[in-house]
Amino acid sequence: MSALEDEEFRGFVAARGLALLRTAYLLTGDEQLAEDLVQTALEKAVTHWSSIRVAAAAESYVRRTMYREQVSIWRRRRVRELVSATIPEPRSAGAAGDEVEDRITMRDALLQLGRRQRTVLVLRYFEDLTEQQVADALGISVGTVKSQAHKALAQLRSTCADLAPTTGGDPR
Amino acid sequence: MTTLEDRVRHALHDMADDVQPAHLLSRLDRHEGRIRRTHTRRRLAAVVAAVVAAVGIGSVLLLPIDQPNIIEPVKNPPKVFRLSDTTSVAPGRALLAVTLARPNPAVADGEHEDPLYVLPLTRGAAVHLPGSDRVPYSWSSELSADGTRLIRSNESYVDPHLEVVELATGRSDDLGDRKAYCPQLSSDNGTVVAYGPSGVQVFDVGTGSSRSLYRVKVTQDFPCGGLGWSPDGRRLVVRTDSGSVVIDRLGTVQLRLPDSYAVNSSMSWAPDGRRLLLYDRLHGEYEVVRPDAGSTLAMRWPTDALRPLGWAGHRVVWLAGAPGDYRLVTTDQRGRDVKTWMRFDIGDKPIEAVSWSQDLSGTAAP
Repeated sequence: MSALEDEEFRGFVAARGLALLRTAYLLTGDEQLAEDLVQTALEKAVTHWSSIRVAAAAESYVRRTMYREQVSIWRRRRVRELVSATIPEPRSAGAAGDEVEDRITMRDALLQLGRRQRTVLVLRYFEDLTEQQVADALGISVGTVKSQAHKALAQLRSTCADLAPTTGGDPR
Repeated sequence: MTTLEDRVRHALHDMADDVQPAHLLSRLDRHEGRIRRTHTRRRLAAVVAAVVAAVGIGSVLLLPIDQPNIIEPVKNPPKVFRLSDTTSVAPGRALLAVTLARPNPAVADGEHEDPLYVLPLTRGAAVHLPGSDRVPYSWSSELSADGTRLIRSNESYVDPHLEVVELATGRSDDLGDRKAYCPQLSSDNGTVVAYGPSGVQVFDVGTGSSRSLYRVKVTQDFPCGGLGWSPDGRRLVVRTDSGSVVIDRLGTVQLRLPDSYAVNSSMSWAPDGRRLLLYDRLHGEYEVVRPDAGSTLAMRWPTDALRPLGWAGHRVVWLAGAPGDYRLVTTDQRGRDVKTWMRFDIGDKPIEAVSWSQDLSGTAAP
């Protein structure tokens, strides 16, 4: 890597590192795992930097690598993955008045989701990707995206009892 | 009613906002030597690819721009902006609106000078536009794209108010006692967007009804300038904590522009709707971004320019000089080819904001 490329790469990490870290945190639900995920993706990116910097596709490349890495993790851990032993108690509808409280509940509920479900939700609702784009990014079928999103939202509804069933917001 | 999907979206953004920066290069630094050896082999290929790409990108940038529905800049604007002794609540269609200074908060209401002047289409000198009962002075004011209206708001905690003034008659469309930061009229004058307590709100000028469009954390010190309609009224650029986003009229994110903030609201959009004038917080530079193409041009800072204000045709307009010697200058989109557009003959009063009508067909600003 030339000095210029090295400077560009470091500039890219400085500029986009936090944004990548945010997505990684949402994918993993853990700050250390998030750093590992980003660094893994950056290690792969740096070996292809000469080509992806020219195409101005560095961030897209790193993000896609993160998504795929996350998929591979969930596939490797499919059998061993542990769902939380503690089942959160559903909140009563009457306690739904405080927005901050609602956010905390939603945050906890999101972190309780399995990797695959949370990954789909992150790509759909944080990265604002379409179902087709999510499927392409993760290397899975659109049907799987739909089913995972459906299951994830259903679990959120059951976990957060104050969430009324929705009629709109059909995922694109 | 907020859907579950919306709540998931908001929760994810809240969670992401809590993430702190980390040293992401630590692992790579340990393997720097290995990386350097690996990439030496790729250097030659990269240089060739870079040249090919640069030629390709350069040729694209040099292509003439298709201009559907382009809003043209003012025609033959006056060379000098002067103040008249005239005060009028209905000065008629205007070319420019200039806010000279914010009122001194230490001075009691009614004793300060109203700072807003508009330059009528009929030329001559600028006319003093007084405040209304509900908006005695404007904390945010901007001329509409066609120069027929001016939107202004009083953002005070005690008595906030938002209204759209029809400059031909002086009549106001009252949008109510709302705290609305940085209000912006759409190009058809039918819709206003503004930052409310929980984010971007959309107001229907005719009915006064409003709805939430996009959630943003807003504080009292939230800076104006980061909210602007595209010329066709189909998209908005919105300031967030971590940069700007471009959304459609349904609030769906189309593009994220991290670490960059739109300059001067709707005027950030070039009239062709294909370029945005942004401030890159990370590098402290102004830049022109072509959102759909993904390309960015860093701008050279013209001599004695204070800040870029927006676009007039395909030229970027900058406020230059200092109190007593203000000028509007224009440059190309790289900040070069500086030409003086207008001088301000306003004494030593400081200029707070300038906006101008953009649909008066004619030639581009110099």
